[in-house]
Amino acid sequence: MRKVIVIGLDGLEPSIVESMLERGSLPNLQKIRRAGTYGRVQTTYPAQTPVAWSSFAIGANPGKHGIFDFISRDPQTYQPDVALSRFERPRSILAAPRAVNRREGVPLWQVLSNAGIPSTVLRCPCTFPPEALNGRMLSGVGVPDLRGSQGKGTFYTQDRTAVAQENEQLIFLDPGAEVITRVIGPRNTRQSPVTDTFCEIRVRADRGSRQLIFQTGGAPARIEVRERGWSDWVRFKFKLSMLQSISGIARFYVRQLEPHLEFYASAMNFDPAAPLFPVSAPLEYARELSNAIGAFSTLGMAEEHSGLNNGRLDEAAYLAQCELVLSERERLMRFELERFREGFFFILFDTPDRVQHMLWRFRDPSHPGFDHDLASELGGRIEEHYRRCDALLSPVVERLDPDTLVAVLSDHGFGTFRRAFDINTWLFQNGILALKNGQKPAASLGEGFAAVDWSKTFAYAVGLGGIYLNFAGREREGILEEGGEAERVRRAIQQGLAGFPDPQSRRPAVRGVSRREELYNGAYLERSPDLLVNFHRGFRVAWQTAVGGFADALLEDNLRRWSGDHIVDPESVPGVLFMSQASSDHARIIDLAPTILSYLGVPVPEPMEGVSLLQN
Amino acid sequence: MKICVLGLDGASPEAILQDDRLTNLRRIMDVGAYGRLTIPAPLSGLAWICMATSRDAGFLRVGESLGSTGHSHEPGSTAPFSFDTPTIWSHLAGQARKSILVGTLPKEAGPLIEQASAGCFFNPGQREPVLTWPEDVSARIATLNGKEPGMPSAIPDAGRRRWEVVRGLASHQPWDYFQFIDVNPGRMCGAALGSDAISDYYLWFDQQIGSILELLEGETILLVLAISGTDNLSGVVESTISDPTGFSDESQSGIFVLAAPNSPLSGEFQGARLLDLAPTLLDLAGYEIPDAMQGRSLIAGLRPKSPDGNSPGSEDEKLIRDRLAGLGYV
Repeated sequence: MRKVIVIGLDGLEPSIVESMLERGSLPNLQKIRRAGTYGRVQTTYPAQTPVAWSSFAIGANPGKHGIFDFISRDPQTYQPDVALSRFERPRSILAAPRAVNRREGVPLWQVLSNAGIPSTVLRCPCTFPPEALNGRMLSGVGVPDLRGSQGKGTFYTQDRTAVAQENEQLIFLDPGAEVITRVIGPRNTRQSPVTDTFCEIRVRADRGSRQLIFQTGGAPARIEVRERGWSDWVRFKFKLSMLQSISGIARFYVRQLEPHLEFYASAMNFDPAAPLFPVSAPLEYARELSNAIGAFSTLGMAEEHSGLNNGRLDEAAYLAQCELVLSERERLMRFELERFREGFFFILFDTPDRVQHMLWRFRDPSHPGFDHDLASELGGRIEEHYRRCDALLSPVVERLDPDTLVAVLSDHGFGTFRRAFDINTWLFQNGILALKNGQKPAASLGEGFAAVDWSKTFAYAVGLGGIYLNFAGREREGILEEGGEAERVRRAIQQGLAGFPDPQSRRPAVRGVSRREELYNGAYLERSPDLLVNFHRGFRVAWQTAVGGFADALLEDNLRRWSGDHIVDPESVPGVLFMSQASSDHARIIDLAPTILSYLGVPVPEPMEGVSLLQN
Repeated sequence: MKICVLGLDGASPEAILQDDRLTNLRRIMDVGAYGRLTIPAPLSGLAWICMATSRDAGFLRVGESLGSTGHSHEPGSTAPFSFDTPTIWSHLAGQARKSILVGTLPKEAGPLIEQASAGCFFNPGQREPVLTWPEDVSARIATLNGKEPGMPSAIPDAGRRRWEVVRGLASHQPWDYFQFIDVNPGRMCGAALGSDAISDYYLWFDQQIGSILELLEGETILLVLAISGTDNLSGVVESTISDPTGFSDESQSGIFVLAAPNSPLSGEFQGARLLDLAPTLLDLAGYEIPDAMQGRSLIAGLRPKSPDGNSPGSEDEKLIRDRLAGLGYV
């Protein structure tokens, strides 16, 4: 009985992989290559995880699945929001709010289900909430934490001069070696005004043994966490009312015991044994896994990059937490592979993407955040992580046989992110976007286009490279008419941005600007930005642009720890593809679904645009 | 208003009340009212009929039928609870209202009315060939779950398929009254599957309630009932999960959870009887209560609550912006 095993290693960069293959540093990948082929795989436009894996799933361009970016905007408010899912209020007061997956199209596991072939799909992006299928599914990127965000941790400190950073909660502790504080749970929207739920915890510093002792009020009730170490998962119950409570899990990291007591709580994940929203299909599958392999992170972006970005964690703490995530995922893979007998098996390991985002600066001496001392210690950590990823493939390689097709791939490559380009400032400087009251672009204007004068704005940028035209009848305060006027605006943007030089490096920052009609086709084209900005390697859209804000300058050094990225010209960041059987070496990520279906003897449905890569 | 009744036969009421994993049930309890029930019937099968007719067993003359079939567990053995006492759905039929009943043999349904009725999957049709009414509902069920009703199967798998049928009928057929009695816990007890399996089944049941809630319109009355384990077929009272409270009093062997947009009842309700539920449902839905019903409406004398006419407010900007927090790319 034929089987297909696909392992996703998110963001694996071909240049690094190829170099390591040459040195014999990736033995398992080498075995797969020897059994079949290795090549680079063309990613999607844009080269973003949810876009690429959705195209992998349905075998077609983003116009057919409707995911064009992590971030979308609401034309009625201009506000950015997560593009992967939305939440709906129920029709009845009795029902719970409902999560809705915004990825459209028919994924390959549904085609297989309709043909009676089972699938095990683990942690594929844009599978939240999960869909019913013949088999099992565990949701991946897109699953929020209990506060509805993509991962918001909490920093606890006795230092009253500390200031809350982005994407974190800050709680001050009373002085002393023994403190009472709280972990923050979900918002209680049943109360007016809306309040946070919380659980009380007691923390005592044991300086002799260099650890903190937590009385958690949860399960386990008592934990001991050594300085600069992570705890196991702790389960908390947050009460909404006398009868209702919500369960979540979090880990603690002890940063220091003196001079100020400081520790960090991870984002509050859905408890897999009792998730707030479904994260598995069948519903009980997540609980079954939790019983089998222990608690595990359900959060889509499970790695604590915000903690590192904000300096609450150092690289060692971050990498330790990444290893915890990777180990859980490996246990999950092993558990499921043990009982995998037929059909399609998929699991994605996100951690290589996150590690490269946070540590790239240590391998790029030209990066503004390069630190020579740290680089000597951390410069090799990305390659070390690649070796770790290769090692976890051992049980997969053991299953290589003539009736099993094995593929290992990444959705895109990686590169350095040195300079941030603020598209909204460029639009302002070119008279395409206007601000109220004679204001000029600056970070102090905040997010969400609060300062924009829509009555004089023809286009605006939001998300990770998209520009929307301010069309009348489509946008709430649209002024642009389709036809000659809109065409002039499009041309002005395309001609003005293409090849735009960075005065500092004297290199072009922007390769070009594409119209959506040139890139996509399909029923969901209307969800796409009108124009897509295509950056050269080393450049990326500014942090502020993505959420409807402005930077202090058109181009700025990227000084954040998030120093590697891939949202650039997709042709410069292909992924890698290892296949255990002879296959074409001109692969596109949209070809994988037809390849899998063909191998399992299932006709490829019409909407799929990819072609089977198998040569026999 | 529509009325939806979801029942769990053979369950431990106390275990269900105390299980905080049952999030859907607890949400309904929070919104509505709940409590223990006095049940005037020695068998759960009789209890369901008592609920539907609001008559205690003595009035139904069902005991005679039971005596004739004995205590057999043989496949094909059915307990034809034939009776002619009007039920809540026959009363609704008299007002041109449609009902869907799942888990009720057509004979148990009483007089023919405008309805769809899908019989019990655990009573294979050797002696009872007609398990649905109208008969074409059988074909619809086969489409929904790929099997004809009445085919024996493993308990959990049959439970899953049965709920597929329930959801299919609830979403695609017109109805004013919908009733489904899930008999799996009772069967699982009889099959000695163990308390863990039964406890997991309660969680499964709660998840299925959640799936039904998503299908309900705003103006729907929901009643969830759990009646403790008695063997429908043998008439032997079987113990279910050991009750940590130690209670085994037959007069308190059921619980109810009732929620409706206009229900004035809230929180724990003491003193409810099984016979009171049908009158209460009719009262909430705005129908007259037949004189023949022995029970009383639990909302008698109370002013119905005005349904909340407020439309959901828009989310504040902070909440929306918070959704992007932690994304990393921003």
